[in-house]
Amino acid sequence: MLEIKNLNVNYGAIRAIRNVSLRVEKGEIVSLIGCNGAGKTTILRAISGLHRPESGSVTLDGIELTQLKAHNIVRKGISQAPERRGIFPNLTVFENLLMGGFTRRLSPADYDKVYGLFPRLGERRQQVAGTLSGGEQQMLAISRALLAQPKVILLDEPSLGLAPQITKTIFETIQRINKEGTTVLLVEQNAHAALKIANRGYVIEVGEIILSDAADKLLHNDDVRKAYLGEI
Amino acid sequence: MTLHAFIQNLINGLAAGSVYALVALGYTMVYGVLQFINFAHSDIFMLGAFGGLYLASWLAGVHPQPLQLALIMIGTMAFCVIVALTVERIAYRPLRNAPRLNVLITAIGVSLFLENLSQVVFGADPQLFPSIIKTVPLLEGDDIILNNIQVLVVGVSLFLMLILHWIVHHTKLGTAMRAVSFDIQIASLMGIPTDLVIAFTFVIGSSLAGSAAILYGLSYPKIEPFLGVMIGLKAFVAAVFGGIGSIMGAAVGGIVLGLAEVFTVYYISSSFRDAIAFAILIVILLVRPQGLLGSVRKVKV
Repeated sequence: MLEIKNLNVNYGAIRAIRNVSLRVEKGEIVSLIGCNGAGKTTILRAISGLHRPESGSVTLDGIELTQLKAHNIVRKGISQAPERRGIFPNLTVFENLLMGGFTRRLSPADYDKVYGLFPRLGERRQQVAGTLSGGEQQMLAISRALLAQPKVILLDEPSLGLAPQITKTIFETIQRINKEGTTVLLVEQNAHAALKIANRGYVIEVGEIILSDAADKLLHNDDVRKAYLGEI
Repeated sequence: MTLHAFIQNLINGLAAGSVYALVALGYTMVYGVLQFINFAHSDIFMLGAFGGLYLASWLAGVHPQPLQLALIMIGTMAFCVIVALTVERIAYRPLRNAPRLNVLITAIGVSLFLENLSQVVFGADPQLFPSIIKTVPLLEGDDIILNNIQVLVVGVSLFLMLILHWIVHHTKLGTAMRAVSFDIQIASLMGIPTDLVIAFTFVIGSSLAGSAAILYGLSYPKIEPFLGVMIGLKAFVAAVFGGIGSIMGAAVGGIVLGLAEVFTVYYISSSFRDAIAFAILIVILLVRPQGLLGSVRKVKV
């Protein structure tokens, strides 16, 4: 469904992403794990059209995306809950959701659906989003991306800065979203949580994919366990 | 210092302040989405005044007068929108990813260009703005004069600001403007066509400047190519005073500045008329740099 081939991305003179290829099949959860600065966010930014790659291709159902503007990529069916949540703090929860569904005409049922996923957003719909807790902001970021009705949703470190209990809730909801038909590309430093819910995984190190396999195999891979799961 | 004089100054100050407020809104809105001061905005205002002048002679045969005025105002707003969109498309949009300073310098360049071009086209001599509507005193009593132009200026300004408030806070496009002003990239991740939203911001700012130009022309009917310089600077001070980026701030700032000016002229000296605006600027920058209603913007590193 989503296919990245030989992607190279530069930041100024520095090559941040080197020859990355990965694919996400319809209905999958694919986790991309790696350390801080490995290039995970850069890949997502390149997919979403925020950063033009040097070379390589990104296609969704065969349609080339690399030349499209960011807002048109959303229309093609890819939306993103960006790094550090990126909610609009000056807008209310409701207005944030309205923006998430900007490309569509939202019905009350659309809102009810995300309020069903995250009841706390429903309770706080008129609250200014900047006053939400970190977990609630992450819920809002995911809901907002969902309202674009994407074929593939990109999630950039949803566990960042959240308490373990809230991370658990968020990851359960990601599974639920996936079961209801949205394909997920999940970028995480929290390798354990990310691989546990994923079908397949990729490991990225300094801009290159060094490993890819079924998620449960990666969970039991010695190198992965040493490097990312804190085991010796 | 009589009560009558005070009320008279209040009326005059409100009328002057409304014009400043309308122009200040254009500065603050563009700053809100692009974080730069659009110095060419004052010249859009000036061009609006000339546009109104020519439209008025062109539409001289239209009756009744209110209809004529409405047509002139709408025509002028449309003219200003076209100029502003052209400037945005040619001069600012190519610099969307350039450092802010480059855009700022470009804006100064555009401003100088428009001023000098106007001098070539309209001539350097001041021209008389036609009195589209006859000045009629509505209230004439012990030292207090309230005329129809003043009521018109304040009324139209208030009306336009209410429409603006409605657009910004109660429409999807207005919400998108606020989203873009927080972060252009994240807004584009929502599927918001950010270039279009930015262009729309220029549409609003310039149409307000156009309407302000007509209201100004009716009140002070002497216009010339450098008309925008002082008004623009004062409206800019008003925007900074209210908190640049804050719409309510620009409205309040404009009114405060208008009142301050008029009261300074009456109670101190007319030679301080222009000085007071800049005194206000200095004080606000020292005491509360983010402005009356502004917020401190966190800079990402």
